[in-house]
Amino acid sequence: MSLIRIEHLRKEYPGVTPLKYVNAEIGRGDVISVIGPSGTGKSTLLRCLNQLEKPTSGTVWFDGVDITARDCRIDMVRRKMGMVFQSFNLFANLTVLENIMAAPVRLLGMQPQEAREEALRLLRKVGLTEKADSFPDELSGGQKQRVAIARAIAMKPEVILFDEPTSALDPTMVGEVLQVIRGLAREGMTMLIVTHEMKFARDVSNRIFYMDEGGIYEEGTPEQIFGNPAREKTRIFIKRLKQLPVLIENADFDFIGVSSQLENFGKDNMLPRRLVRNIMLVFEEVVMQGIAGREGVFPIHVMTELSETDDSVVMKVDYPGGRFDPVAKGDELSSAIVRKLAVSVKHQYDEGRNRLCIVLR
Amino acid sequence: MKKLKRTDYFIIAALALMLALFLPAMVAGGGEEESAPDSAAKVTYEDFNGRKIGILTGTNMEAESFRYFPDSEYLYFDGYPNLNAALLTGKIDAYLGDEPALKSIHAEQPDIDYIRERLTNNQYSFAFRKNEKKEKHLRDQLNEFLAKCREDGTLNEIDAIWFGVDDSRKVVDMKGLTGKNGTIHVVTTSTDEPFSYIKDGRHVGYDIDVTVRFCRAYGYKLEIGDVDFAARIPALASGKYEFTTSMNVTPEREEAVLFSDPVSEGGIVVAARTKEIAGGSPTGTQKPGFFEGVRQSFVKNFIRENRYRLIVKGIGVTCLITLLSVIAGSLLAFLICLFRRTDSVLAGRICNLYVRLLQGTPMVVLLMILYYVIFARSGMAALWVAVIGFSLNFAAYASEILRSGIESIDGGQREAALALGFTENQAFFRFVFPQAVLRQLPVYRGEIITLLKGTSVVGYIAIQDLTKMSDIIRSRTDEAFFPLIVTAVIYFLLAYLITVILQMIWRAVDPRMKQKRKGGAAR
Repeated sequence: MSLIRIEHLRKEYPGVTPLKYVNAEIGRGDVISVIGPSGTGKSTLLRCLNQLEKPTSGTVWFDGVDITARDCRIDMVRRKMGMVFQSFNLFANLTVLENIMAAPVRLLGMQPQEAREEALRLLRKVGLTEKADSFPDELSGGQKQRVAIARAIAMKPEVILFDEPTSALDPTMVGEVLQVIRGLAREGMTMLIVTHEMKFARDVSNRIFYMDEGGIYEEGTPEQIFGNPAREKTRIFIKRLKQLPVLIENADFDFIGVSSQLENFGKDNMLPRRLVRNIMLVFEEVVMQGIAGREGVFPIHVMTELSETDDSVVMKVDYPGGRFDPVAKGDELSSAIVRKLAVSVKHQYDEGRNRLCIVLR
Repeated sequence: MKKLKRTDYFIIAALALMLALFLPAMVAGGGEEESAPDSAAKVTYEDFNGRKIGILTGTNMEAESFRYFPDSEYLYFDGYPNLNAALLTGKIDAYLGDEPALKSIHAEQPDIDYIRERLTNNQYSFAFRKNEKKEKHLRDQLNEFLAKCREDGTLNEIDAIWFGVDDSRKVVDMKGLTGKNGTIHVVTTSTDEPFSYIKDGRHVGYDIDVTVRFCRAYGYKLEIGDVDFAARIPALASGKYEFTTSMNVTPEREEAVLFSDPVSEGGIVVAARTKEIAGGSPTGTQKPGFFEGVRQSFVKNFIRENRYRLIVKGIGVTCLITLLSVIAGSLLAFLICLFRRTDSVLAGRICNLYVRLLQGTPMVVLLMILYYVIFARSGMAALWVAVIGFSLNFAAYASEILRSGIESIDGGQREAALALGFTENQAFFRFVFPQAVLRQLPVYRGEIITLLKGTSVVGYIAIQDLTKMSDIIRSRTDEAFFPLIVTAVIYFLLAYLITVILQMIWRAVDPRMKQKRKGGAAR
């Protein structure tokens, strides 16, 4: 029997209906990543599961109990259904240890001494033993989120709902939080994770929900969804994740804007920081310095994409005008930099168009 | 020790300069007059026409002033002490007063005198609430009593005591009030020497003496209320009191109250600075040196007649009202906060209306409405009326403070608590509410201090708090400097005390402070 069954779930707000019709089953031990464009009801679905949002209609069964029923003691259900929030939501007036102990002591009637030992054990697990007596505002974002996870586990829940657990974090702190979640997955914890970290989703989950058009648009194994999505919108979403097309129409284009697009692209795909920096540098030297300064080269099409086969990134630059290879013929210093950073650089010219292909790793 | 910066020296020098300039001026009370009038010419009221005239609010002196000084500018004051201070500091040049009152003012404060010639001859009568059987009966009893006293010479004897110079005889014997025929409530103005004032902490004066003798003769117990002149007739109308002490009988007043036969006689006279009245006796005595002056002034205002006891009593009343109002007001604010938490739209609206209404009503007006209208017939003591008024007012502000505190705690913590399995109420009381309170403590403290200072208006409803006590002292000593400065300093110290106490409470409840202490002990 599945742990959670969602039937005909619908959530309406005045003027907008994020969830039109959702049906799903979640089994024990499932690790499900919920992905999709923003505004498609991913967080709403999670919040409807533990009833922080009241569904407009539909039923949620948890362990065989209808928890959307009017007479259901939802607070009792929530004890078995942990939740980790995007904004951590630690209790600001309590220490780290007290944050973790509060619910077991107050709600489960655990002895304070026992709860304390358990809390310390959990802190050791998330690597924050030495922060036990700190207050939340003395912690970094990543540390706060790890405490929040420990707080959720302390209730020994049957499932944990993660609502974009790394979206509010600096890129440098994402890793430590994902590491903790990976650990839970290994232990067999049932989890639903709303996330934009695609590589993580692919690695950690056994199932993916792609949400769009007010429901679970497509679901499948990570291999199916990321490798071979069946439906149109999923395909576009997955593809867009891996490709960044940029069109440059004149020499006064928004260079800073494009750079930050490149940076976000790297972040979304969890590329190493060094690689992201190199991509930005190559773009600057080749496109900005090399090509955009010349006459008759517009429009320039730049396509940056993740390789299908390995972890490399390919930047394809396509522009009209006479034959010109900025790496071979351009400014010497620029050329030297690009050659040093790139794995390979190829230039072709046919039918009045230059095609430059740079591979970075 | 840290070295003082140049700016510090500048500030110290500026403070010292200010003190040096203002202190003597304040203690001496009043500016120097440029020229003393020609002593040969006899001064009459006409010499003051066109100059600034002070009017005792709520008396028939207003109409008389318009009559005698048609070209003057008028300023209104409550009570003789304020008039005298204004006169001595040159804010006004003259005022009209009752002769007996001015006689005692002149005795206490030789710099003020009055023109001996009366403008009018007046009879002062006690005034009773009109159209009430009980009060009419009481009035008839008083008339009967007055007639008897006039006959057997008692009234002359009382006259000799209170309008005379022998201070040792000026005591009222309060014994023998059996109350076998009930209690009567008299409202008076205790800054009206020699008719009604406070001496050795007790109500005394000509009117009080007459009233007490009357009560003794007719078997009543006596309760005395104390308000400003202007509030006496409204106080009667409210039904809290059966009668009030001496008033000038005027046709207008006769429409509102029932007068007794004359209790005493006198007249309206013009009061002015002694040096401007040629006919008045000169100040004569040499002015004492600065420090001697301060010492004498201090002794006069606080030591003589144990007047410091009035101050102590006043502090007690002020603190009591503040303390009770803070407690009751905070509880009420908490209640409002609970009401607002319910889903009921109506409850929320009512709470909002309550808060807007009370924030929009001046405290004095609210107090007087409560005292003279709402609780007029309840017989509730003025102190409790004040506590109710200030509690209602404080609750309005405190509930707003609480609300903004609750709103400042982000909703995420509430959701986190719910997600762990706490109920809405547990989430609120265990996590949101304590943080809201802690965060708003500094604002709350400010509100308490505002309340403390706000209680200084309770004199309007016959409560003798710190401010009223300093008024009473001023009415006896006719000096403004010491009573006012000392009152200000006491309020400041009380406010400081509140700050210190709340700081201690804060330390005790703030989890961070607790942890620091724990950490300190461990080390």
